[in-house]
Amino acid sequence: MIQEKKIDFFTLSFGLISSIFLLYFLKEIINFQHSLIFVIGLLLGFTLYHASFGFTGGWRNFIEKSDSSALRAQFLMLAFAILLFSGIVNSKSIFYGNPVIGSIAPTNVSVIIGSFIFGLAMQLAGGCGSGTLFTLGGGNTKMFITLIFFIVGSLVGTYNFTFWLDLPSLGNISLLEKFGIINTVLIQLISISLLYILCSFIDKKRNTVLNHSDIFLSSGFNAIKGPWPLFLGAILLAILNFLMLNIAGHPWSVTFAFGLWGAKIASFVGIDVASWTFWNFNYPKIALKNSIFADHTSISNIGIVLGAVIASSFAGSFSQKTTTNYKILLAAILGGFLMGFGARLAFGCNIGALFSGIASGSLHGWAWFLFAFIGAFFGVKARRWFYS
Amino acid sequence: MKSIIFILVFCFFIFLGYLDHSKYDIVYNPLAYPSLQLEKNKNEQIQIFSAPCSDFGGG
Repeated sequence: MIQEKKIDFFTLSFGLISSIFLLYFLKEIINFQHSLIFVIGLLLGFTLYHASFGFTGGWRNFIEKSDSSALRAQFLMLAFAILLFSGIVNSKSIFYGNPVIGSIAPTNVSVIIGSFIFGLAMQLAGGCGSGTLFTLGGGNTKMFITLIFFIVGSLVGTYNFTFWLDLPSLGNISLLEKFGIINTVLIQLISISLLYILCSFIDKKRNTVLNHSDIFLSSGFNAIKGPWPLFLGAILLAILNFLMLNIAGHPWSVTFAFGLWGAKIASFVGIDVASWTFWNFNYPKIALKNSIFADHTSISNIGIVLGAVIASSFAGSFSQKTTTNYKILLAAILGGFLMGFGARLAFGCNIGALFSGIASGSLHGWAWFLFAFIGAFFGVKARRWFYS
Repeated sequence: MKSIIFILVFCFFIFLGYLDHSKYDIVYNPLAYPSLQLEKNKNEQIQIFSAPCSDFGGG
């Protein structure tokens, strides 16, 4: 008989009080929209934790065991997000009427290199962009080390950024602009369906039995204490990204904030990051001059961590012990740094480039997916040394 | 013990954020003046609104 874990009231109180305080602070000092973005962050963290919705473990399960469950859930999430996003990207917010911009970036050599590095590194670190935040919020000490080096890597990635931008490029390719809404939705949904069928085929061939309903089920489902089925996580993440798009004016992203935090700390210790080309582009320049609490990505990231703190406290698993040794710490350092560096080169991580990029109809999102997956394949092999 | 260390570290970083906020305050709030700025400089406004996406995709 499995013993149900008790709610960790101490950590839960901290999570709830800090969330309420930050919510009030953001509403009073910045504005109401920023507090809404923070709430979306909280809900993202809660969802990610309870559904254990990570890209890293899911991809590794497929590479090592041909277990396609997490990948199938991710395909459903992407398909649902495409349906939600396609009519609104490059249009106006359904709430505020302000312009809504998709995650569109160049499809170039730096995306190929950056996503490959990111895919490899996330297997070493044991978490991706969102994964690092929600597992940190779940009390995983190793992820704190990963986050610190994620920040360092992101900052280093902004140095000499133009070198990477100048590499051969196909330019920004928006499928929505090229083919229109209906055709783009059809092209993308057909591509995702084919990938779903391919992964299911590989899974069934190796494991003999494939139960498509596995992503709809979870043992001992509990809305407050978790766990949640992957499907519920997939649908909620797509909806929350859509809300982010309409409230913030852009889709959900994670790693820009890491570079910004690194740049703020570097400026504080006297490094002249403001002279770097990256920090002279329009938004980065404003973000560097602005309060950190005015940056959407920063406040949603803080929300994700606190959302996961609350979820893990309800689940009674915040203080769960994790194994750490020097090899695992080295993997966290290396993985964190390379993820940060790779994300900058690839114009985002699994959230900003893959999830939001594909949902926005940008070709670079698909390139990111392909090359990050190849990188993950090598990362899974390399990981064996660190975690043996 | 782990919870207490986590809380202290988290609060320390939020405090650093608050110091940063006190230093810089709000230079420009991208959501406060949508139509006005859009009229003035469409290209710049799109980049500001795209926020971390900007010309470079997802943050």
